[in-house]
Amino acid sequence: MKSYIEWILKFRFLVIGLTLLVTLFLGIQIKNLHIIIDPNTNLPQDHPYIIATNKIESLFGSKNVILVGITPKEGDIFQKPLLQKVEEITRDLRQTPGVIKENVLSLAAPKAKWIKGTSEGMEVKPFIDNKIPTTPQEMETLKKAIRTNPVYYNAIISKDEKTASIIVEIKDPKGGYQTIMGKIRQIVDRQKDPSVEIAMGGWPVYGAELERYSQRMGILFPLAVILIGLILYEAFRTVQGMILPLVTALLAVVWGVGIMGLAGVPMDAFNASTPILILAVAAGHAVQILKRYYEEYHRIRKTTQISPKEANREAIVESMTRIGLVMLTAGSVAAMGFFSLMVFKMVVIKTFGVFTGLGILSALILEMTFIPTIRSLIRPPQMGEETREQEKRVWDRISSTFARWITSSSRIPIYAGALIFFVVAVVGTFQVTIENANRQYFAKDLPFQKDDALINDRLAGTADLYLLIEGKEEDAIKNPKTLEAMDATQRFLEEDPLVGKTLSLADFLKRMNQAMNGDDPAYAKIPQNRELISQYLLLYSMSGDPQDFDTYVDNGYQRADIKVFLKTDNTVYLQKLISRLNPFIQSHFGEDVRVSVGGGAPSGAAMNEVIVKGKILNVLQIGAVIFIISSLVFRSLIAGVLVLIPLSLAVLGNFGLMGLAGIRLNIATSVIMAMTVGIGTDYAIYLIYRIREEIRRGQTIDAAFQTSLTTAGKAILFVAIAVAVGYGVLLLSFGFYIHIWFGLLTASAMLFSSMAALTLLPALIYTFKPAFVFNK
Amino acid sequence: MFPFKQVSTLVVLAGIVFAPIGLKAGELSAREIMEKNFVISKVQDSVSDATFTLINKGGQERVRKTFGTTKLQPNGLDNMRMVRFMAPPDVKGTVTLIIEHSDRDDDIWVYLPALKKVRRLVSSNKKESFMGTDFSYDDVIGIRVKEWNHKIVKEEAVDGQDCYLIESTPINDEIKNSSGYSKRNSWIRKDNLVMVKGETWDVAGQPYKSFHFTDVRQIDPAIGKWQAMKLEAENLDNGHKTVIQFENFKSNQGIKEDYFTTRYMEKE
Repeated sequence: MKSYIEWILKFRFLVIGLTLLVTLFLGIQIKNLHIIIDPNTNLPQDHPYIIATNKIESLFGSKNVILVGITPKEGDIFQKPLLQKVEEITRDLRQTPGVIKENVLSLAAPKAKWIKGTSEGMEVKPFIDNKIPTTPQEMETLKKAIRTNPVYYNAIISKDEKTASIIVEIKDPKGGYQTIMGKIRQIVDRQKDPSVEIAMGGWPVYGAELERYSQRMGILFPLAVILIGLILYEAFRTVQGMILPLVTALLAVVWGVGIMGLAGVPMDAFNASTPILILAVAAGHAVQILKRYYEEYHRIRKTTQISPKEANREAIVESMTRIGLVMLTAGSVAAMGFFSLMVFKMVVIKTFGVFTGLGILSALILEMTFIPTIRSLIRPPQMGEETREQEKRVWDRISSTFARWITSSSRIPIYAGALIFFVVAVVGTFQVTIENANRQYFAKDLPFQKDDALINDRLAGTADLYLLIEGKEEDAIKNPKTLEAMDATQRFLEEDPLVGKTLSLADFLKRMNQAMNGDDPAYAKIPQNRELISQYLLLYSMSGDPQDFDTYVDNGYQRADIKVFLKTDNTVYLQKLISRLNPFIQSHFGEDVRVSVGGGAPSGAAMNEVIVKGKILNVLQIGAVIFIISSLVFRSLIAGVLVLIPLSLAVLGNFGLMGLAGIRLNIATSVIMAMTVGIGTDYAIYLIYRIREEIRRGQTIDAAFQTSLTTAGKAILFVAIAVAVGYGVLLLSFGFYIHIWFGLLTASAMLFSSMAALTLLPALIYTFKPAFVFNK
Repeated sequence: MFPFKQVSTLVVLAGIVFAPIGLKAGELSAREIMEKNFVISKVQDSVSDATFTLINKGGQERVRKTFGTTKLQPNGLDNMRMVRFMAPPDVKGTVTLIIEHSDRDDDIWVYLPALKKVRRLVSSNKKESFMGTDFSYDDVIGIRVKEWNHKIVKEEAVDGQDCYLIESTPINDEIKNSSGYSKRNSWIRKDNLVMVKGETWDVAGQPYKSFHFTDVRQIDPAIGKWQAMKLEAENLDNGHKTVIQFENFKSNQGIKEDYFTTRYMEKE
């Protein structure tokens, strides 16, 4: 290590030049970076819900459904100006690229047909046929048309007839939801005036908002940088102390983000926070080295007569020799923790892991090359700086206090404290709910959240679930038994208060049967004859359009779907609904019919289900990685266990906090758990190395602990506070809970792990005196 | 077993024109071309087998086979058509009878064998689907020339045949809404005035449907009638397509008028 550092210093200009070139190259790559939410990158592709969802999507259309609700301030929807608005929105949406034109459903959509029973048969025609009713008679006709086709209630018109709705489906937007939602919002906003209330809801609305709120990182990130700089200035009281760790951190971020841009990997809601994480971790390592550099510099100046300039160079070599390997160890352990996220099926988490890992490795490379060379070029610390750095302040008081507790006659208070923490955390952990819902990501009082609530209150619901019904051969769906089972399933589902609407081919066949029998309500049932069903469908197609049922049944009548509109995408609710539904399906459908569940809401549930499993695996895996590497590095299994203790307490503490604070375990919060484990490792490793070093140097045990806690320990405090405050900036992201959870849980993880590393860990080492620390 | 109605359909669709011989097409105005295309496109009667292939966006096909008869009504303008579905089995025996009326809504009856009853289908709209295909009644029966403004845009070859490209726009909004088209382009062959290609735009001015007619045959050399045997329509909104293929097309079969009554629908 020593000869390596001397070699680096010898070729310092080359090193600096190369670093700047790499930084420039990767910096240019950042322009290729996009922030998007592509739901597909999140989805576990082999989950049954996702398989069904993909199939439904390819057979019947998209799963990105938006509901637009228009409510007049006075009266019902049967007013010309209101219908005009519905028609104009429908027309404009049908012409918007990205909207699935033929799937737009509203009173004014050609697809929404009025099946009319006449004395001689039936008639099928659009509700509003390019001509909005004007006379009272025409309006009455429209009213009658809707009332005789109750299949459309809660779909394109509310039950109370006070809200008209437009159901829009959009294709998966490759560049994110904001562009398409911007266009749709423009169309809708054009129709806003004091006479109506217009609200929009659905997953794409959330997708766009997630993207928009994630972009706040552009402001939060510079803030984090400023805050970390301020804390470091407070810690070191030198300009170098403030600037250099930030240089490392920022370059590491540029490298990490640049590699993302280079690899064409888009940023998403979760990876948008990656820069702040890399920044915090990189700064943490930089601070440990800087702290050690100052320590060595003072020692050399005190014990030798060499010039400040030579002392500076000597201190660089000495600090790197002493701590370079520790940093590489701690950094690699953290990076491996993140890289281990690659086992996740969800690309978002994979991406997060890979790029955070790369960012940390970048920081290590920079600290091993660029920073020592720069430090060798700047002038050595001046007298005033030196003294200021040496002043005893709050950091010293805290770390000395810990040292005193550890080396006192009894460590029982520390163990008792740890036990209480443990018990509270376990109690809290048992209260953690695994639950995911889009609306839980944002504050309730945001306008689009209110809109969503409004839509769910008045119309079918903004979350979607689909049942895919598959027969063994063509025309299987025309079997009356299958259609009756579909109908029964719909009625079963509609008993649930959160199911707003169900739609299937069965609804239309029942209506046709009734219309063909003089509108007699007794015939509002599935015809009992397969031929009759086929002939009704043919008859319908003679005045409807051949593709009218394309979203309900495939061309060969082998597969059909039931669309279910839900008022919530809450995964806990969904799981209950699906588990009630499954036995019903089994007892109603024949063996030759397969029914599977898919759609937007189940996809969310699938994602959550996979997270729970993946998360447990992930935490165990990172624990194992850390245990193995630590055991190898210290050549001791006990060392591996000791390194795990602060991490375990941080994870447990965070689960406990989530349980007690009512924060759900979802995709966002689960990412934080892995993060926690990765960062906390540094603390334990830095401290154990320092204690061992001091013991080996021949210090008394108490003095070794005293020194370690006030040097490496103090640096841990700096690091923990810097990371906590850096992330604390996310608490300022008002209304966006993903950021707030990140801020809160990261800060708490820093607190828990640093406290464990500064109290419980050294106390255990002091009590049990393991050989790997104490043997020389 | 009878002659067929599809013939007319074909005739109209293809825009067959009687006896182009002697006409110098180059001297015709756009309107005259369209009138020839419409007015002289009727045969006395016809029979044919037709296969309707409906293809959705995903490429899945649904095939229906029919047997059709047509007969021109005494006014020489409107047809009577009967279409009998032969396959698939679940719709076999379903029969449709259409009596066209130039001056009012057409009369349409449908016999559903599963119901054993003839039902009347109220057709208030010429833009509705013809027999569940991507063709509308208007596409099949033809547009009334005087309700549209026509102009020759240019001359252009289609499938190696010289054609006039004629652009037609509705004379008023009522026509626009009832046809569902704000514009239509027709490519009409110069030699026989058969339409071989078409494009239409919906009321909002968006591209809506495209048509392609091929395998044009002279079906009655004596009076110079022509007919495309393969008709394709695509709905550009949703990618849905229909291909109608005619076989065994015969004209002038001496079909009786009382064949085109609801009583006959139930008979084999």
